[in-house]
Amino acid sequence: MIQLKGVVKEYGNAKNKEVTRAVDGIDLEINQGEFIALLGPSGCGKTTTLMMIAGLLKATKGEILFDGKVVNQMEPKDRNIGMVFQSYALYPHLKVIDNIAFPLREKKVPKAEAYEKAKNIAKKLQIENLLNRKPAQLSGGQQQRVAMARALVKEPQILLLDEPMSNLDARLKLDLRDEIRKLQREIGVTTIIVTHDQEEALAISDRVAVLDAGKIQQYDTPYNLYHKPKNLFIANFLGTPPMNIVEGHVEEQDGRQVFAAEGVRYMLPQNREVAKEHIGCRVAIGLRPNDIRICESTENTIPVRIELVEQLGAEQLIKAKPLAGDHIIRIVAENEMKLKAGETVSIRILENKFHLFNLERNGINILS
Amino acid sequence: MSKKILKLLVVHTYMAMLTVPILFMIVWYFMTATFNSYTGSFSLDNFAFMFGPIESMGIKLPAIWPIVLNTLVYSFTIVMIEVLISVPAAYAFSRLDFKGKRNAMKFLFIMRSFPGVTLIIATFFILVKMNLVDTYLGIILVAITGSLPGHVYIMKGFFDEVPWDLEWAAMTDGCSRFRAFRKVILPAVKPGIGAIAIFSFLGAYGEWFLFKLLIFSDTRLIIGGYIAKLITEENVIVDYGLISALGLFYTLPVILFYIFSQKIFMKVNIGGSKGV
Repeated sequence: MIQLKGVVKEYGNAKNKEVTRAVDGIDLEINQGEFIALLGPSGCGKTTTLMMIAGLLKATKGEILFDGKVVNQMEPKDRNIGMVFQSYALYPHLKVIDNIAFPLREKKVPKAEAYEKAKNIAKKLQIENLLNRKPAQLSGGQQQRVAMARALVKEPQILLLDEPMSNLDARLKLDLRDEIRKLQREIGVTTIIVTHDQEEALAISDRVAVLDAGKIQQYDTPYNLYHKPKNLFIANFLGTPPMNIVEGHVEEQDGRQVFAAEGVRYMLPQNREVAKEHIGCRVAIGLRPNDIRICESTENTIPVRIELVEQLGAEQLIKAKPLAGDHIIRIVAENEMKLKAGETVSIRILENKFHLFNLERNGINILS
Repeated sequence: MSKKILKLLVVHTYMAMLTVPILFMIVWYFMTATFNSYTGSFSLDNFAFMFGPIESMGIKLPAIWPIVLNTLVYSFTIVMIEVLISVPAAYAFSRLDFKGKRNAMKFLFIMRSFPGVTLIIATFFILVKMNLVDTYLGIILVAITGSLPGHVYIMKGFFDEVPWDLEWAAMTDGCSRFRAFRKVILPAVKPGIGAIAIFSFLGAYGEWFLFKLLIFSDTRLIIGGYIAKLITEENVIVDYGLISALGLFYTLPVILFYIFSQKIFMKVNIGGSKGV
């Protein structure tokens, strides 16, 4: 098990004595054999966190524990980690087989055994026909496989993947993603992947830690991240097309709660009313484009005018404005619906599929 | 005539116009050395210096082989010292954080572009005071001080090109920092080491000015100074046959060396770390 307790990483700038916090107090627990992802926009501190787990960077504050033992001062070479870098970082002067055997040779494993093991892992990754080539003679996907083989050959306690697929084309990414997942299950190695690709993170990992501004915003299963976002950042960050966020407030009317914004009035279902303290606060409603239906004008629907219809292939994306408002609402609709720009339709919000965020309290989700 | 042939013709004519004069000079050079200027017939008389001390136009020249040995010893010592100092120094400048790094870098840059000749009088007096005039130690110190900053700078460029990932990968693969340097970083900067070794060798091999200034004993000369002895005496008719022969003897190793080390030089021009 890997634990991070209040880990902070500060970078000092010698010139103006300024200190920037790349990582600002991270608590994280990763169970044996788990596959987790560190996800976030660039500059959120995810790679820095990975580097600290690898030991390539020293934490300014806090503790990193492997199986209950503090490893802050341990050298990377003693941590028994396998790491795949974004650039793959294959040793350019060594042949593929020597690259893969390198970590074993550094561990003083006898030559014959090291090369035997290297060949076995190469077979598993289907690169046994490339063993005598130099890294420069390989394609990106092949280099990626060699890097994986080199990381796995020493049977590491932890596998660290630093944006391992960001240099591959989309199709190859999908194939390799499945393969990495399968291999990880088979070997059962605890794995941490750093990525900025949310689809990749959600698809591949058991749990995802979403980072922003050096802090973990939410650490949860992919399902919960998508369906129960803890705050506005998570809601906004995950999902394509992105969630619709409409600012307004919740008010009481005839004993029922109503979300009111410019051009939008929505009576909250009785089982999803908010606590009294949030009434009157600045509140945003979060609606996924898939959770809005276009319907006949009835009770509790919102009239909108369609501004634009975009074809997504499997469905169509509607951009509409409330009749009395000026914000765009994105709606995903089936292709069968014949919709035209300029038309006025009504939309209905699925009762159990909307989120409310209190903007006066850092955008926390007040319905979950 | 097709367009392609015309293009080739233009290119080759142009190249020929530029290279023929140079080629002509080289041929002339060979001819001066190997033909007797009076009789006009082929003779190797000018190469008599290879077989013992000679006297030409009143100047006595000692036997050349000890001088050749001097040259080689001097050049390889310089290469060794420069590589051994500039490689670790450049690594430090490229990779480590230490106090005064910025100022040291600035100093290095100034030293690199500073014309050392302007300091030569001061240098001479310092060496006199230190009793290092007419010694190899003195001349090596002066020569290295002049060329080291530039070589550290070149070498730093090579280290800068090696991605951090490579070093980190080695460190997670079980290497200490030093071992990562030795096993992964050094091979990646090999062309750079080759380049500075060649540069310092050529610099040392071609040195004559420092020898003329700081060395007085004939036994400590290197070939450059040896040839210079022929032309610097006044009121003497210069024996161009002998000078050409000596020059040929002097440049032939370098030419051969260039032919065999061309590949490394090409890499240096590209930027050094191809394939990394």
